[in-house]
Amino acid sequence: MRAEHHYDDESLIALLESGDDFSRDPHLTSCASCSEVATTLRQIAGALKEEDVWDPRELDETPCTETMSALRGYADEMSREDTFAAAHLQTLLAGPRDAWMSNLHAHPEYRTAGMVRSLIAATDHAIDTMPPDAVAIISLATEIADHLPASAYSTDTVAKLRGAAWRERAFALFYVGSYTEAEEAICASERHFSDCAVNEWDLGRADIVHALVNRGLDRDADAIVVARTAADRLRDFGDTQRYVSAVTIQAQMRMKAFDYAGALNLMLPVEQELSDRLSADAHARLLSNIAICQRGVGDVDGAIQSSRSAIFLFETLNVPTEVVRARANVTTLLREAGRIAEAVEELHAVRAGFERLAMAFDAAIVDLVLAEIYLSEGKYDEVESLCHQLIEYFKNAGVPSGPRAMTALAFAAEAAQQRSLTPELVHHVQRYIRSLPSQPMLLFAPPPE
Amino acid sequence: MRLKTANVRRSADRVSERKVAVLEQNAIDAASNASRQASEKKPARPAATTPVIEPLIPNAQPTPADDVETLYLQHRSLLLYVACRKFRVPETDAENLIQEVFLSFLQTGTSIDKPRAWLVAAMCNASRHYWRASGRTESLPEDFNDHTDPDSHSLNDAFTMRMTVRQVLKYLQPRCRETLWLHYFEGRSAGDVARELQTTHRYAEKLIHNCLKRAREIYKTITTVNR
Repeated sequence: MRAEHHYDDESLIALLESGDDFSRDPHLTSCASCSEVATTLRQIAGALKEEDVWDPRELDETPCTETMSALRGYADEMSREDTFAAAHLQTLLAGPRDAWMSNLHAHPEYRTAGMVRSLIAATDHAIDTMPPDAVAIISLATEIADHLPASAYSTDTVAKLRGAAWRERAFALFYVGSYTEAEEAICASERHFSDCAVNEWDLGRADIVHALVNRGLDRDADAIVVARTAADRLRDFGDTQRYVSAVTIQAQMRMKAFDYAGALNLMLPVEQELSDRLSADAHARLLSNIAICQRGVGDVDGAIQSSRSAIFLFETLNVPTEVVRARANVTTLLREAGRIAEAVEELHAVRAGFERLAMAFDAAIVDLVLAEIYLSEGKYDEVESLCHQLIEYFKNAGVPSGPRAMTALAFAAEAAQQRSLTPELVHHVQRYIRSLPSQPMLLFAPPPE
Repeated sequence: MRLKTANVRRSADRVSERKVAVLEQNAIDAASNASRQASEKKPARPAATTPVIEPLIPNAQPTPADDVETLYLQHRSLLLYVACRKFRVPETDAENLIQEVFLSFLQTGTSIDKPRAWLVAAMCNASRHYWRASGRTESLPEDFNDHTDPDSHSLNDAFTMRMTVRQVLKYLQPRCRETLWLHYFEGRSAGDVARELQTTHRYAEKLIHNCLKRAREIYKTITTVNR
């Protein structure tokens, strides 16, 4: 066994002085202890170049009691307002959403900063359950914020609240597809934040919404620029989750333009550097996007690996629909990589998954993919048997357009029996069944001869 | 070009060799620990033999006011350093900016993963705003508008390192400090350092290496104590 030779300090300093890139040194890339010493030496040398390090003046280390008292007072006031708002939020949002603004007019005492904060939090929840409610709730927040007297609160409190309320309003409007109104709202948010002394984090968050709105308005170049600004701002503040969102928007814009290599260049470094700091959900979605891009640049094996990592994360999150969909994508990749046996094995598992989730059409598509593989191997009997199984499945599934799907499948089964089934015919049936959920009245017609 | 005045050099030379008993970073940690212990302290309860009615007050849970005070005590020194040393904000105004930063922190309305990183970035933001608002742009550092540090990708790590290295310098012999000042701050070559210190090129090289090595040893001692 070969003894490991570590660098001494002298050698590392010589390496530092030579200006060589540490990351290219084979030992430093593999030895954690030497790498740590080298990094510290470089950081110390870097700090020694800074003027403030040499400044002999001492700063007063004593905490300021006035500041502490002001902060305590502000935090206590916020708590009081938030408690009051939490107690009255239900009254404000009582009845149908058309009545909420009248409720507010009837209760001028609800017009507080605390109520704006509570409404913003309520919007966040409503976006996932009832988006039009979210728009109505956040309209109340902007109405209150816009009429709050700035003098009643300290420094930038009201400007920040207005900015936050208008940003959330922009997002809610974006979510329901009102892009033009969303753009007006996000511009209002940015105007409010622009006057604040500490505003870059808030502006970074507004940039994300602005990038999404630009994307919705097909202003792709603007979306990339704004998302890049968002990423810079949010990274400074150590806001990893939102930073990754900003990078993902940039990447998605590149993917939209089929620039998969460019998108990968954005996402791969983020995944490598920040994977341990990302939430499982954000990490899984990032990996799924990476897999799409890897496939786009022809790195099918890489795409399979990324997809499998995403699947693992979706499993830990217990999101079965995402797990099965991601596994279905893997089967496509395996087929592209020529790993047919693995693909078939995976397809059976995916089919079972869709069936468990009562996703009849998705299960049928998987069977038709299997049929295509069997057909390429000349296994007509297996194809015919699969079609009959699918017909039985649709008979029992009770989906409205099931009979139409059964007609198409019977056609495929008959063609298999007559040995006239071709991959094109299977594709045709696949395409038809895929379109049924959105066009349930569509009749099946065999392809033209 | 970075501002490098003779005044800075003279000041650096005047730094005494005294041992600093409690270092800046230690003080931050000590303050934070004391505060944390205070907020985690639970009210003493006598052993009960008969059913006891739960007291309504005091509440053992730290309030938002406790939390913000703890954060203030933990990070004030670093934020003051950022404002006064990087952005040259007068110390008298820096405290107001720190208050502004903490008020903004309270208003985020969401949980912040890395409060120190957030606060340092906010302090840079507030300092830049301070100078813009007063219409002054001269005599400011050339990296005034820089955002993420390209080497460390973390402003707060870079400032913490600079605060610690500042402490390291206090422990070094004057000759070592001068060598590091000449080579790293002034960017002089080993040959230049040799001429300045009236010694040989080879010895100057050795001196640069030894002084940096010594600086790392002191740095390690300081940070190990902190951990």
